[in-house]
Amino acid sequence: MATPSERLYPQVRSAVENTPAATTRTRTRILATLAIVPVLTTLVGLIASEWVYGQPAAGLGIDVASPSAALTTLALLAGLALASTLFALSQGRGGLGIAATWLVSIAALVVPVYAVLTVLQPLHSGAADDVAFTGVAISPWGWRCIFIATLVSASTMAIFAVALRRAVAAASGLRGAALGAAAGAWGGLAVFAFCPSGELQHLLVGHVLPIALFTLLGGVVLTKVIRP
Amino acid sequence: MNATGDRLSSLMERYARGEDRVFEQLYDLLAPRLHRFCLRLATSVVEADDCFQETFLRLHRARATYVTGANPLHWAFAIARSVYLTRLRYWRRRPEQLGASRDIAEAGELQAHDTTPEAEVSAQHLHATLACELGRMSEKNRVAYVLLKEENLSAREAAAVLGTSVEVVKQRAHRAYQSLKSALNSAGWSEYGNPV
Repeated sequence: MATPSERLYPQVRSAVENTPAATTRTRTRILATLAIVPVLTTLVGLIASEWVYGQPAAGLGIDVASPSAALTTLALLAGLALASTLFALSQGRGGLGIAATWLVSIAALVVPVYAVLTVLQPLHSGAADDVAFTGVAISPWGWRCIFIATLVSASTMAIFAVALRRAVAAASGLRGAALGAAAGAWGGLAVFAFCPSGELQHLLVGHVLPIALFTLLGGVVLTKVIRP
Repeated sequence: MNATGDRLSSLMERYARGEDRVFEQLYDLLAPRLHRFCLRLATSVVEADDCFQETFLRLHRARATYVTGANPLHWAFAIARSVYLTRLRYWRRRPEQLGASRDIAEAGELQAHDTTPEAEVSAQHLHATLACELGRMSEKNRVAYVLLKEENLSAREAAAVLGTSVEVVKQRAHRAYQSLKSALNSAGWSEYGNPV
């Protein structure tokens, strides 16, 4: 008598034969992601800054009291974005990703760490928020920054989705949230290089809020794409 | 991993690279335990068969995502659970049948050593009690118990398959164990399968 799995073989075989499957390995897609995302972030930050303020990386050049402090913060934010991306994309040795506690930590910590680095000790005095200083009106709600953060984060999230499509068999919700936080961190990095504002409300709404929203969005939207 | 595990891993790696001809060998090694796991997840044969077929289909579609050297069985368990949870979410809109399962997973293990009619009835009663209690408990506790106690995964491996922490897996399996123990006691059995 056939065992249950033997009985089901013809149906499974037929379904498999009629279903196409990608053969590009996930490792290759992850490596491509790690090459594309930093370039994308840099390009958007520089082009947007040149376009709006007439100089690249205005956030690092206008109304900055200490250029070395600005570069240190930039390096820390880049490290935050890169580390969260590496952990969130990692497939682990067992192929099921890194431990759930790490994913929770990434999803929970990216926003507060970014806020501590950029809001608690702002690099800018707030002088650039006066239209007379730069000739550019900066909204207290940070609409321009929200747009740039959304552009970079959404593109990064789409790249993550392609890289890990059908690759996350366990803890897909947590992984989605961690990927969302990492995508938000890249958006935050671009905005930091772009914007010279020092107003608290602007920093919270225009710079920090998009990261929190993308963390939530990742947990909801990416989850469905990255499941097998 | 043992010899079978290494062979399974090697076949999965070849299949992931696009060698379709190894599918049958891969299926032979993977299917029996995967089907048994699906039976435990779904608690009914029809639902388990559907879950099993869907799992293989998704495993096929996601084959390029397989990590070289990883245990394909654990990966398949994680996919099966993902499939089952998706189906469960769908069925939540309708009343789910959680009656006694036609559980064949333990049938061989639970047969009495002597074949007297009393012993057979007794074994069937024990089996029905266990299967009914497994079907009644929460999916989280059940799957943690099955992975640790029936599939013999370590707590760390089970935590990876379930996407949670080691402590949580141990806690869930312990809850399942307590619940089974309590059901057996209520049905007049001791912890070791002897009538009280």
